[in-house]
Amino acid sequence: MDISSDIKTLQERIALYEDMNAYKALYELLYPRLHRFSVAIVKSPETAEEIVSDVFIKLWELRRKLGEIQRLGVYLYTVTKNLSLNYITRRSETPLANLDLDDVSTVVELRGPLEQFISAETIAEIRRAINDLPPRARIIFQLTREDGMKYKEVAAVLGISVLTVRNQLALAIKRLAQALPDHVPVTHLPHIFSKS
Amino acid sequence: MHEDQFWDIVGLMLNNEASPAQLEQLDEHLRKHPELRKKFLLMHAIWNTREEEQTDLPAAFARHMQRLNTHLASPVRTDDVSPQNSRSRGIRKLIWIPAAAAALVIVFGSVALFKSGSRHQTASVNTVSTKPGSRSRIQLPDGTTVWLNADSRLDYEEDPGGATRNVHLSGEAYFDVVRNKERPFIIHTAAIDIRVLGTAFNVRSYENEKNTETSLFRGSVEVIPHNDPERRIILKPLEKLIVQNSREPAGRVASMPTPDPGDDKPLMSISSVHVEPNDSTAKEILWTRNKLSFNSESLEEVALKIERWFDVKVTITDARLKSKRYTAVFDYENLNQVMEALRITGNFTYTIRKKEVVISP
Repeated sequence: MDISSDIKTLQERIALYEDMNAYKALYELLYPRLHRFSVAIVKSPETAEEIVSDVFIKLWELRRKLGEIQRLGVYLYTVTKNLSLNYITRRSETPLANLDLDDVSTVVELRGPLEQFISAETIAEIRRAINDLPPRARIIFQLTREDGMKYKEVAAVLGISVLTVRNQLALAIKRLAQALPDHVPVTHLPHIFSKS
Repeated sequence: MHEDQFWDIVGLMLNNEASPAQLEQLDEHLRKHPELRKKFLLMHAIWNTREEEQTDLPAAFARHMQRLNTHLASPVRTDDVSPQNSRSRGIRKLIWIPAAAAALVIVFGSVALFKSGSRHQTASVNTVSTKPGSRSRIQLPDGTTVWLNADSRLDYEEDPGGATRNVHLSGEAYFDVVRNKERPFIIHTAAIDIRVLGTAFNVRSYENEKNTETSLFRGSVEVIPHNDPERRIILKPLEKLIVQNSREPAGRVASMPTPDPGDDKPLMSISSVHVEPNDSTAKEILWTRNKLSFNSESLEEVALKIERWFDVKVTITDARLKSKRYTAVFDYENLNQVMEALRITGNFTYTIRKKEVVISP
């Protein structure tokens, strides 16, 4: 994650000084991602907000030991995953250990400049292609594209091998590419390349 | 290169994980298959476009803090969200905490000494200091815990072997002193020394304030004014001692007698620690819970506290505003919110520009 060093700085301040400002900054930094991730599993944004809150309650209770945790980002994603799966489990009979879910709702948004030169139809095609992906591939696509996680980190959070992550992402991209039209006014594209 | 391999490398490239060799292969393949170029560029564009964040983060955090405070306040904390079937080692560590907590606090206590604010060591004396706007928590070699408020400084001995444990304080700190009858703990400030056996209390001694205050919560302390060592005072729990820092005219502190011109003795008074009826935290130490509080304090005193808490400069343009008194408690509010709340009660106007606040009628 490109925000790893920010996480580390805040982590130290919380562990050493119980710094509430750092705690708040960490929450605001990670809430969007963790919430998105939780929503993919539990579906409801309200439930997801409570789950992320529970994650941060645990983090606060752990504050003195926080320095011991090596990759806090991955750790928090994992806790979010477990609490989310737990929530689902308590509502059904069958326990779920992994993300072999029937139904993972991911948020894949395609906005901004893209709308200028891709028709609404194409955007709908792309969305459909993503939703048709198997749940695991979809979640991996979201974690890498939306949250900027590395293959290794995704593998750690989901409890699968790096190779699986890599294969699943390749699959997702291939399927997406197949959904794209052959004719696109390429001349407009170069402007979007810089990721600020 | 097989088509699947191509998309594999595209994936690596988009995620910034492709090796130079892989990037070359990608380039080569695109050169040989120009029909793929458009789709490749489009994929790249799709990958890089992100949705803007919709959530009101401060509001979400405020809701979270409500839940956190509720959770921390409940006497029996049932953790019904902890997963049963989790194989994650992280979760197991959570359950393991209580046994090792004490040892770990000491570890982090000493790490803090090396990293916090400013630290220097001459012979065996360590210094910990905080800047305006930040607070710190330290553990001393004997196990005593000290919460240091903003803009404060504590000097202590690294390897205390003497008959007494000594620290020097400038600013404000809350002490939770480890009991040791054989070795009294003594806190030295500019105006007074405080002799402690084992107890919890707050000391407030800022250079630019008129008084030094000591508030006792548990145990007992003996306060010894520098200028008048015979006039020792022993505090009982929930008593507060206020000592004037220097020989300034008594002025507006109503509880203090006006001094004789030739009288050098420090002026002192004893009052009670203020305990909010709804909240068991005394007003004097709300700052340890990250709450900013004013207890019938003049705007001048309020300004000083705000300067320290938020690390800003406050100017009051009209002297007539200075004497009005304010009582308030703020909980994670930012500077804007605090100023707005005070403005409504105080009937003044203010501007905030970068790190400067100007208060006018």
